[in-house]
Amino acid sequence: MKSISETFEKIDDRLNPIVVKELRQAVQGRFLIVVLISFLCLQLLAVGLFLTDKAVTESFTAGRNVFQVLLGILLGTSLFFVPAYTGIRLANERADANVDLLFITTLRPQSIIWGKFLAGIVITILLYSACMPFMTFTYLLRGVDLPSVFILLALDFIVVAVSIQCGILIGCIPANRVFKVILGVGWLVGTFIGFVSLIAAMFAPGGLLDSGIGSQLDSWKFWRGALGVLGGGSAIIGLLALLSTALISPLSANRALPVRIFATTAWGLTGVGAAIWSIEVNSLTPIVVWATLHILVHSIGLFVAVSERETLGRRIRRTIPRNWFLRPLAFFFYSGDANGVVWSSLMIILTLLFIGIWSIVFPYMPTGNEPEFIGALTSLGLYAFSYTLGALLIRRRFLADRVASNYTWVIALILLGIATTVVPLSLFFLEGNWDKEWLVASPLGPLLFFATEGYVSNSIAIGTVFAIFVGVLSLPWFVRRITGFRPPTEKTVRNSVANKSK
Amino acid sequence: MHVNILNLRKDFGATRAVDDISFTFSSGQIIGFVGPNGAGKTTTMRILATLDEPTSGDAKIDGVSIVEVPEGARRLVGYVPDSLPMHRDISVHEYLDFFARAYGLTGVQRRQVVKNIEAFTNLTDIRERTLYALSKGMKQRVSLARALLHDPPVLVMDEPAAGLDPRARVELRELLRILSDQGKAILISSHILTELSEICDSAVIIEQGRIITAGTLQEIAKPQVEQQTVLIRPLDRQDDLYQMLLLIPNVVAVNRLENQIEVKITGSDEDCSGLLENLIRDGYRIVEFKQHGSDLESVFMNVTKG
Repeated sequence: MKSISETFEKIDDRLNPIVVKELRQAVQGRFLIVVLISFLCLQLLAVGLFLTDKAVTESFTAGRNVFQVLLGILLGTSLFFVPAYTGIRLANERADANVDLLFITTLRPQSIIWGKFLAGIVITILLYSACMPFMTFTYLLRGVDLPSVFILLALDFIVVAVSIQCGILIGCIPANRVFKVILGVGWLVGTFIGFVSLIAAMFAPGGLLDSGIGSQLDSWKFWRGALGVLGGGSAIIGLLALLSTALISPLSANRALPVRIFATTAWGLTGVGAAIWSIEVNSLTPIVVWATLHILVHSIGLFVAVSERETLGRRIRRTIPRNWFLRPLAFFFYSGDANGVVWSSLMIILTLLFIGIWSIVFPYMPTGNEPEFIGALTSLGLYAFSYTLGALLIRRRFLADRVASNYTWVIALILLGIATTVVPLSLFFLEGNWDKEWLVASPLGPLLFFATEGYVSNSIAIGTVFAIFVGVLSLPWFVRRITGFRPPTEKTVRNSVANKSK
Repeated sequence: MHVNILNLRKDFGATRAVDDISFTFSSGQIIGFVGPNGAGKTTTMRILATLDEPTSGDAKIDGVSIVEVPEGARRLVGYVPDSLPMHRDISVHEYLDFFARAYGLTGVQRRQVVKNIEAFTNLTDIRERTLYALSKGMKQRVSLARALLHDPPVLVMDEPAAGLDPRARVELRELLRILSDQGKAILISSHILTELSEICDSAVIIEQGRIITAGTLQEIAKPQVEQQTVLIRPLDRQDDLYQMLLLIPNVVAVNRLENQIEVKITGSDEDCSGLLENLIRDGYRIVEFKQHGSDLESVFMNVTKG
């Protein structure tokens, strides 16, 4: 008995303190209890209603029908309640000054994020456990096999886990209450679409349940899909966790490092996956899909990058490598506006380069509109670079005293808005007719009209001129940032010591 | 244990919140950190607690730099912020247990430390109550208990007495005295200056991010007071005394109060002493002779612009 209690004590000591605290608070709070009891009542009611209908119970698909309803209730409860509960709690804690106290303990920001995530997962498991007796009952009613039950539950669990991490990320965003409500509504709409899509994918005719999962367990195709969902889900959770960690890390930390390492690794691994897939299906499409995803992500990354800090703190500067070879490499992985712009731009260039090389190496791959679409992606990258760097230029030159660096993305969005709406609409009212050429200075134009002959090439030409223009104007700034990226020199340290001793 | 704050500076954009602050304090000392709102007290304290990074300068806690080794420095500091814990769904004991875990305490050691701290801060009887249900004084004790969990040699307390009733203030004062006797170096900011003057050995007065004056309470009081107020309560002959005081050259003003006389004189403590000596020599029977206006509050009012 003593050894058992010692083992439990050891496990207790190794638990993430955040998980312990969150679960203690969850079980003491009324909200979870109310949700859990309502959830049980709803399931009991659903099963009761089915059992009282004789026509349903005599059917050979009774178990399947009940399972669909129960899984719908479970997914709805887990998908909406758990992420919202986790995210709102975190957002409230972030609004409270006491959250700072966690940073002066030995807890690391990543432990806080993973602790919140694990607590959400445990609450989900609690809901799943409460559902288990009812799920077992569906098997006894016939019409559904056990592999289907477990595989669909596992699929839902992965989706819920992604949604929990999404809720955590929104809770971490430093924004006022109004902006958080807007984000919350966005999350709610997204989750609802996800919920409906998942239900359709599982239960619609020809969906997962219809196709008989049990019979597919020995096929590689099934496991490839399952591993893809698991890998993709894990990758999204990892990325969201790193972004959340970066958001709650103190300003004195190099917040960009884990996110950029992860994104670079994900770029490489998914690139290899897309390449293998492309060879297997003998088509350029997987590579184009991969490139679209990464160019979109890194274009958004440019908006984040221009809003990053202008100067590095002393604690970060102390970690800059002194080695002449490592320092230029480290530049890409440090927080800072120039560092972020260079890294995101490089990732976009590498992605386009990869497609170019791929098209040269495998020229025989059949293509449809892919070359034009790749052109549209090129203009998207050029416009993202031009508008964000243009916004940075405007803020630095004219609005430095009025707009803080972390709001540069707003200026970029305004510029983008002018190009996408104000200019075309003004021309529309002036000319009295609509011409798609008016959207040529907006990233939207080439993406919508890439199939129109000459549209993409015009767009690339304008984007290139625009990018060269802002690039040249920003060159002195880039040079200053690059030459200033160095650790404190021995002389600075000596001066600092001398000043202190005075 | 010495805490050296060296040329500390903190800029928030174009605003300089802390401007070249330097001072020192050590084990067993309680230092009052005084200044009007927005003077830079909280920023300085947050820097000391390693929550913020200084723009330049440094602070060394027993030689450990808060800039270069923040992980090492934060183990030496217990920080009590000006906001109190407000959770609705966590008890006092669970809150302290959570932070003990967060500080890396394990097993029997963690349970013992939490138990001892609860006993020291007089929280044992209320350990199962939720934080939300506690009075301000109790919450302040919880906050102090949390800061003491890892047994830091330095305590940094931001406005700990704000909003406390007299009993809670006395209890807090007693706890701070015990901690000071145990050898902890304590930096404490407060707006209740009379309270600070009762518990502090020294004080640092800052305004607009700069130190206006610093030293022991006696040291900082002395040079600032050009004019002193003395309250004299004679046993009898109050009218004679009043007339006589008007004739003394360095007496600026004399006011008759109910059973005492308020005298404003220019000069130092020696001039006050000389006045009392003259009164006794002239045969006045003095019941009370009280120097008024050399406390922290009057020094603060004299040196700050507000």
